[in-house]
Amino acid sequence: MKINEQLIEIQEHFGVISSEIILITGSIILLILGILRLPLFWIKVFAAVVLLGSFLFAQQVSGFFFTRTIIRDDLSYLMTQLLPLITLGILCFKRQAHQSYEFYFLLMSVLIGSLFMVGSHNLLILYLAIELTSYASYLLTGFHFNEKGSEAAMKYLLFGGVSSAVMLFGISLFYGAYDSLYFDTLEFSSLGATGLFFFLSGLFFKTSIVPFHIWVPTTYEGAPTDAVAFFSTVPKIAGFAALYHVFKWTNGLFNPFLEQLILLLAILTIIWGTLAALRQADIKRMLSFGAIAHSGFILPLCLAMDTYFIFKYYVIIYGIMNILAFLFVQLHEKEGENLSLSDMSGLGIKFPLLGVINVIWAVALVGLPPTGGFMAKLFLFSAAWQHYESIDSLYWLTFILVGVLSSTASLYFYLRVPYFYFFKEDQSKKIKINKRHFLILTLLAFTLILLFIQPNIFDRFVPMINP
Amino acid sequence: MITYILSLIIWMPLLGAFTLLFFNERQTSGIKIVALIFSLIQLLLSIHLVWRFDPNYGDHLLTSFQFVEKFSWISMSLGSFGSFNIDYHLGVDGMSLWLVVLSSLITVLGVLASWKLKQQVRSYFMLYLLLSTSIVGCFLALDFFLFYLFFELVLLPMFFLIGLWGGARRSYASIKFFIYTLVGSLLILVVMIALYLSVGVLDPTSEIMIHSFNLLHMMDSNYFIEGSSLAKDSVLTFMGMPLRAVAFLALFLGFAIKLPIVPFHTWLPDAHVEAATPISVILAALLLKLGGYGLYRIAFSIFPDAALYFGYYIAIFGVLAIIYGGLNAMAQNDLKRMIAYSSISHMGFVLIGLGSFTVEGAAGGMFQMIAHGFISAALFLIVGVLYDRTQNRKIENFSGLAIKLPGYSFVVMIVFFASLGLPGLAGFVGELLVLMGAFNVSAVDGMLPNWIGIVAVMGLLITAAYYLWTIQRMFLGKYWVREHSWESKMKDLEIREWLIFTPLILGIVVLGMYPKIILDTMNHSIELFIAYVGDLKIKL
Repeated sequence: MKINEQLIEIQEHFGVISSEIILITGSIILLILGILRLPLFWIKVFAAVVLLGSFLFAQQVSGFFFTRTIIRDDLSYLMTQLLPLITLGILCFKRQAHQSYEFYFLLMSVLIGSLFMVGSHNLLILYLAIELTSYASYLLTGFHFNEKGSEAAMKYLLFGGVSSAVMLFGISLFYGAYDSLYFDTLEFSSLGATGLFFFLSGLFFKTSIVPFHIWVPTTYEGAPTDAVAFFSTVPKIAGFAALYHVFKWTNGLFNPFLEQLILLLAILTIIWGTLAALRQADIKRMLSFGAIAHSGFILPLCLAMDTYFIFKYYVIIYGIMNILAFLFVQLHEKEGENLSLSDMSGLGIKFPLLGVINVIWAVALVGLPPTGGFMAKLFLFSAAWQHYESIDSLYWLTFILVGVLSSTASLYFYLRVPYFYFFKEDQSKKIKINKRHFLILTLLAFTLILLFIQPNIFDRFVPMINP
Repeated sequence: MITYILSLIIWMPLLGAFTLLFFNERQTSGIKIVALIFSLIQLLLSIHLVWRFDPNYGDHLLTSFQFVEKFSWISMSLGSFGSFNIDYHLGVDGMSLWLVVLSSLITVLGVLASWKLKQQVRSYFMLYLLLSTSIVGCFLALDFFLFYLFFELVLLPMFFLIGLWGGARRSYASIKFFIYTLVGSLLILVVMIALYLSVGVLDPTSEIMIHSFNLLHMMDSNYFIEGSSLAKDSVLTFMGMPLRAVAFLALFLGFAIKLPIVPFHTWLPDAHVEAATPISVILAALLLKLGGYGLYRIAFSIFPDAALYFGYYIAIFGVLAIIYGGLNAMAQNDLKRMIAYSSISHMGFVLIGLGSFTVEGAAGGMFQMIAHGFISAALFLIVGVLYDRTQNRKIENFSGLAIKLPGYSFVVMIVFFASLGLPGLAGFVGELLVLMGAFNVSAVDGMLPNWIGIVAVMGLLITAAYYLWTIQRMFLGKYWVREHSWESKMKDLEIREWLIFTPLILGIVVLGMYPKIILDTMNHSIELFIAYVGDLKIKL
């Protein structure tokens, strides 16, 4: 294909990534508006409009675009809708001192990077997208501008730098082995497998799978809570979606050994996350280890080829649960201080509705009915059992058993929040939550229950392209 | 024609809970009256259900359910993964009928028993009514998913009811209760998933396998997909055991923790003792029955082959519970703790009855559950009466109460004697039937050895010993209480308390004198159950 033909093709394809383009233009205008000293409220409104625009203009098409570097399918369509909505949820967090127009600009940058992560069909584009999210994330981590925040940002930067270098090395091995960087041209070879391993470690870093999770607790502890809520959802879900794409298109690389390795990592992640969370008194740290355990649950879903629906359901539920939990935590925070369990004691008696919402998110994170969290786990275990049944692999059975046991253990630490909320008596604590936040909390909690009663509610609005 | 009476019975308390939302926290009497009205409606509906129940309906276990309601609830296509279907499927047979009546009766009495509650009345009754809905829902669900949903839903309100309105160590007890029973539920969850994937119908038009959670399909071997993990011909093993046996053991353990069986019983004394009186009543009278009912309806009905294989060991667990629970009860000096352990001991008979695989044994186990529902409710209320007056329930702190509180002592005597199995009162019939079953089966085919029945009879002696000893220490002899300030509070039963005790005592006496009422309606279902479960025994 000649260069000018390619250029014409690229020109024609711009409509396909309209939501990304809206986000990019929007974030640049946001930066300009910030420099013009527009009040923060209007900047937030503008950001919300941009996010809604990208949600509405998401294109439901399928195929390869931009000389086969960008892929569009059901998954990337889902993500172009889901991720802006989750970011919209982050905008609803309580006003705190660290929030400025730069903060929201960086949020948008991470979101753009995440969307390209999901849409890429080329290792180089994927790498660039991951770097875009990473750099913006390092900056977001330090937005408290205190010692703890800087330490967290520094750690994140160092770990992130190393993992990105390893990932790049893996990609270069790929290129050496296949002379191509497109997902669907990769085949199995020993060099390629080594490359894949190095390359995956970068994605595992983003999705906080166990040997690559060390940055998570410190970063979550030091970063502002709205940034943490964002990290634990948008880039992470995007990372999983990217993993899903990689596994889907590198069919030649897919072999039993890889499957076992992934399952092993998933099991390790679940165990580690759960055990570590048991000992935390800081709620954000506890939730961060809980989120690590959840990564372990999502990981096998990226692997199995026929589990798109389950993957979709799980990440939607995961996003809602985490936003709800972190929003709840942030509303109880004092400016710049981390929340410990005892700060919440006795509030449930005074604010029963808040207590009910608290119980709902805790129960959903454990995975108990009547919340969407239960359905997500039910679907996941069903898929795992079906795999166990069809190949009689002990790895899948172990995964199920470990998953079940860790759900029991996670009951203990997630339930400690409502436990302190209701059972500890303390008359001194007070909390002010305005009506708007209350409404959002209620709405999210209600969605969690609605998704239990009607898990297929989204399919009614979003028909599949190729079922 | 579809009647909606079962749905009405299930959702009536929840409707009450929603009505309570319109009340102010301070309108305590209004809240209590609403709770009472809605639970009374539930009771009337379930009595109406007994009236219209046909005791000889159906000629096979799978077709013996009445008042069936079935609607599609969730029908979701999961792409190549198949289609995911959950039905709202209810039905009642002779086994669940009386448990439903028992639940609605105990719910009404529990509302009466909580009449004096002062703190957070609205939240208490909302949780209480939600609990009632989920318990009855368990007894009526014919869809495994629906059953599991209700089974789990019991935990949350119970957790808060123990943890917020309980005694001194309430938070410890509530967490322990939650975690123990959740382990059981999760075992059930895994088996439920495996069963769901093993059962299905091939849709003739689209060639898609339609899986379902229908309990009736799970009981019927024709619906199992060939080669699936839990089919009769499955070759999959887990640590050398066939997967069907493992699945049965997981279900058994899940329900047995609720029942409870001996090594997993430690949540029970804590939860019972720390909970407030009405909640202890619900725990003992209804929650334990969920475990027993689950064994009958799910574990034994779905895996009769494995159940038959393990029947002997199940009976041994029963004997263990009887002896161990009885000895523990004898060693307690807290009246409530003693009663909690006696519950464990009495539930052992259910396991022996099930393990015997005879009509007598199974009917006896079921009867024992219903009788124990009445008796244990009365027992915990008896402790409640004493505790309300003195905030103390140590056996050694009281003596000669019969002189000062004659009405109370009269109630205590009847209930204690019923619990120790005096002929003519409710406790006797169930135990007798279970023992008959156990001895019968040892005489016929030696599935259970003779000693199981003999040791169980010894257990009755232990029961008699601790109850008589307690009567002697607390009610006979010279009147004396430990604290002087209690003297003025030692008044006999008031009208509200009589109102609570009368239906229970009536029930205990009627069930003891004329067990036919229950046995006649139950018998047909039990016969079908044994015919279905024991069918394999003949082939063996």
